[in-house]
Amino acid sequence: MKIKEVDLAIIGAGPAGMAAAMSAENAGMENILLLERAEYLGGLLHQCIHNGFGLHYFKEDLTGPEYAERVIKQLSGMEARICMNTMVTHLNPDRSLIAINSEWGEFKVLPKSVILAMGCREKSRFSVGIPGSRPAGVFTAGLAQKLVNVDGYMPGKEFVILGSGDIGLIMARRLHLEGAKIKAVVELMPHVGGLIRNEVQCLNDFGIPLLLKHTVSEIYGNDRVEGVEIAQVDSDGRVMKGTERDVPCDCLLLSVGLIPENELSIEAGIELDERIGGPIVDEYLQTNIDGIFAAGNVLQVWDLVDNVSMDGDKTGANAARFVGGGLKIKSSEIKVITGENIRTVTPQKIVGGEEVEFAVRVRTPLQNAELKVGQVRKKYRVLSPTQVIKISLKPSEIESCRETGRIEVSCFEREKGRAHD
Amino acid sequence: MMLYSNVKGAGITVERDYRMNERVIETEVAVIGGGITGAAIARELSKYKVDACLLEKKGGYGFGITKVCQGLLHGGIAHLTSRAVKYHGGMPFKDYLLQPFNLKEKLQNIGREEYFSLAHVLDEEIMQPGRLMLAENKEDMEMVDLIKEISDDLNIRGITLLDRKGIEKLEPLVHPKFIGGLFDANESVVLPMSWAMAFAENAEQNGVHIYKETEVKSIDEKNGHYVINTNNGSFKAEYVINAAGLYADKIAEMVGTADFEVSGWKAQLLVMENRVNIQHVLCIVPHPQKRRLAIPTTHNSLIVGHTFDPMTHKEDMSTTREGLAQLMSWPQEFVPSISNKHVISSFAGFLTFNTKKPEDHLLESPKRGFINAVVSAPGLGPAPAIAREIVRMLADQGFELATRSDYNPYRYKEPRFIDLPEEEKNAKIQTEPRYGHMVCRCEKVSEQEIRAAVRAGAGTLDDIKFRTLAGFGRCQGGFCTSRVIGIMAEVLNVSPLEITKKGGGSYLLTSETKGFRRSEAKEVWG
Amino acid sequence: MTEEIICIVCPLGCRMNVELDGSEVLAVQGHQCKQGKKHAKKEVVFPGRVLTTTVRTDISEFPLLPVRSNKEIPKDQLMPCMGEISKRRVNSPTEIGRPIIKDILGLGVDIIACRTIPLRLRRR
Repeated sequence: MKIKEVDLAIIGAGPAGMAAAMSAENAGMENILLLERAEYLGGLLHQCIHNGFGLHYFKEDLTGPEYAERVIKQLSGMEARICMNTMVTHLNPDRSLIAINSEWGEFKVLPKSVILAMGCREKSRFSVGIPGSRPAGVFTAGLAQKLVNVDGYMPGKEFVILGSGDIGLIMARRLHLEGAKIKAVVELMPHVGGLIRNEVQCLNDFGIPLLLKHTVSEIYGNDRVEGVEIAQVDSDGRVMKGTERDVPCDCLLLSVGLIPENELSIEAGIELDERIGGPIVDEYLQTNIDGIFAAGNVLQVWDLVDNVSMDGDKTGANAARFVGGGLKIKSSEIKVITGENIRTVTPQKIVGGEEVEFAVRVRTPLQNAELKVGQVRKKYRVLSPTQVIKISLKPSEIESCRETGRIEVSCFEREKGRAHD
Repeated sequence: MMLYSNVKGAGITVERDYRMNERVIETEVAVIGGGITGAAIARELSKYKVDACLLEKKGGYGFGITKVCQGLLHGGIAHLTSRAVKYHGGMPFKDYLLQPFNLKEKLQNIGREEYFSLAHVLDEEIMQPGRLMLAENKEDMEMVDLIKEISDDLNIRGITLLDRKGIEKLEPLVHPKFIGGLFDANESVVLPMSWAMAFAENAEQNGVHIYKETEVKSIDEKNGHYVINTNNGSFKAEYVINAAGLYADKIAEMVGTADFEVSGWKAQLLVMENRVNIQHVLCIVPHPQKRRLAIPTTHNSLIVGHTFDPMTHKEDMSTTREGLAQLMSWPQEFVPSISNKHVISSFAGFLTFNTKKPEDHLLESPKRGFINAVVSAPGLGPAPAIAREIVRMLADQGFELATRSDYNPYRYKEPRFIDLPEEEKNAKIQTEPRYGHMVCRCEKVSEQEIRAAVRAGAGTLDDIKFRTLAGFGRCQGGFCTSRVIGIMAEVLNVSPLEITKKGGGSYLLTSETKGFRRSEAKEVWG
Repeated sequence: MTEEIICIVCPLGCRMNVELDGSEVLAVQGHQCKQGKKHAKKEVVFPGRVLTTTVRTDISEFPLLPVRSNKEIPKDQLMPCMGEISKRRVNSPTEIGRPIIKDILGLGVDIIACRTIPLRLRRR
């Protein structure tokens, strides 16, 4: 078996992996290997042909492919080696990994550091338990997006979309523009799942109905989807009997959630945060295994690709520091506690004495919100669970928590009238 | 099979038109149905100098009842527990259990050992996790004691009574509510469709002609022969074996002998990743209304079930809201720490019986040359034994059965590429680089395996899924589907628009994007 | 006459009311920043959107080229533009940013390529 000894192995060459490779090289690392299972670089960016990417990272409004090409061009000028059509099949606790491709066959990589950048997968119909038959014509929104935007095929003519997250909204518009009929976008919650600007541009602009507090309660059809049953749900998300009605359609798209893809992490014995689905990390984005870092959607499902690239930047630089022996870890750890109104926070622990950037998701939409991290408070006019809020604390702001060994993150709605303090 | 479509370049949606194949094929024995029963019969026939055909309406084996069966090869006490759930009083329970066993019950435990020896010969997987029957209270323990007593009387080996400590030793994470139980070391597990394919392939390599995507439309009787009319030609046969599972009654009707219906119970089940590492089949004490099973499979998953409702319609294999709602709480009834996040899939299957002999198999010949091989659940284990019985019935009707000296019992199954040792993998990649290109990430299936499966006859997405496991895993085809469609289209030399999920009208893609005729385009875009 | 506009400039999505006299904007209410007010004033008179879609190619490795409009297109012209784009085919390599359709439907907007085909990485 071929054996490759490298300083850094990056699993996944989507935006996170590519940014990591570049920042590691810029930080002085030399022997870098990027392993990508697809036939192209850039991960999901190629199928996301809509705009709205790069507003923060490049200060421009780009489409996915434009964003990808910019990053790929930067990467191509670098020394980092890239293996495409290469699948990592095993990751071990000692960081070694086994991968396979047509050129080298099965080969082993012995890296001094690893960055996990495998992204995420979509929840399927069965993970949300939609009863009914099993006809052709039930697709996850991401798969439909690939079929339409990369392969050039329509998965149906008349659609019902379950889930009003951004991918569901974007696909509603995309399919409508391509001449399909969108019967409804069905959303379990009492509010839209994605950004309001997407609701306006994707649904309102085209008169596509959004049914809040509804779900798809059954799928009909023998060979092909013939229709779905939709129904209202109560505050517990349970179907309210008597509210069911049939909607004829030939395709059901599911936009019901993303799961960080951590099979390799589990194999290596990396501890995961059960709620987020990604590894538990410190502020360096290092997992519980020294020298293995996580970046992008594999760590948590992000809202913007800009943040994914920034994760990549961080981990690349940190991996370089790790290999150079320069990651300063203190003997005492500070545990990060999720408090009131907080759904998820990374990092879950603080181990060093440097600045820490937190990434926070709140549980419910909040107006006139105050986010509290330790003793630091920050005000926001509006906070939505669809955004990831980034907030940095200086070392001095964290030190006060070192004695208790805990730092709490919480969020409250302030009273009206004090919003413009 | 002829497939006509009017796809001409970009943008015209596919209309399918299966033209009836005009040919007539002559054979001695035609087996209708390629599920576990039909496949086992075909294999049995292939041991003799017989010209035989197997007619299967789908694109693969076992897509009917076999596909959704739970895969259990029953152990030592299964026939007792099956009987126990039907107890309605009228006599002491022990006497009830000790009544003589009918054919179905006698066969219930038979297949198991045979499958073990066949596993080696047919290159298939089987495992023996044993069954742990869990008791919650004193009454349960009394039942368990009684079953143990009877199994001793009947000389059934491998049955052990256990207390709490004992069950914990076997399953450390088992629910605290269980106070003890009974372990039947015999219970075994297989993947039913895999075995149907194994039987059928062994039959084929020994000369049985297989016709897939071949659906029987009608049967005529002419001059002592049967003429079976299908979409794929007409088959002139001396003998017809009706192993059509769910539709055996329809087939029987075609020869005017419909004195039974195939009915059954609809069972809904969950498939989960076996993250908590359950090692044994778990079940509760026999209960008239409850069926609770957790079955670890040879594929590292866990099947949990099952609900129990009367079959409404043969085509209705849908899961229901109520069914799924019930099922979602059962995994935790066995092991509290199981998370429903690990549910991969849910499905419904039928536990069938025939209305003529509801408690037994219907193996009979209502008219000369026509044999019903209508099997009631459980039919997986007994399949080889039933196959022998059917062949014996053929002989009884005067059919000359001469054994073949060149019958080859060994069927070689191409191992999954990812399971091969490293040197073999690399050698294969050297000669065929497509082995190194992984298409299905979750199950690690290479492009070459998919291509080979298509060439071996897998013509639909489901065929590929069940043959190569591509699309079977946790992402349920989210990553690989578009690639698999592309590969299939390339190998079959058709447009991706023609690829279906499971044959018939189950096409996956409806048109090319921007594929409108001019008049349609004007309507859509103005 | 008053028209309600939901802002799409930032994630807040403020609901604004715009008072109009014909096509003259009299007043804007409900905005929380300058850009929002600007957007509302523009939206009532010239509701426009960036159009992103794909163009078919004759290049087998890249059956579709992702494209975008380089400026906003009036909302009611989105579908007609889609129709126009569906008639085109790209049959030669192209660079990112190159106009595939110039001045589509006379709107003064170009449809430009969002990627280079083929993208050759410089060899090291």
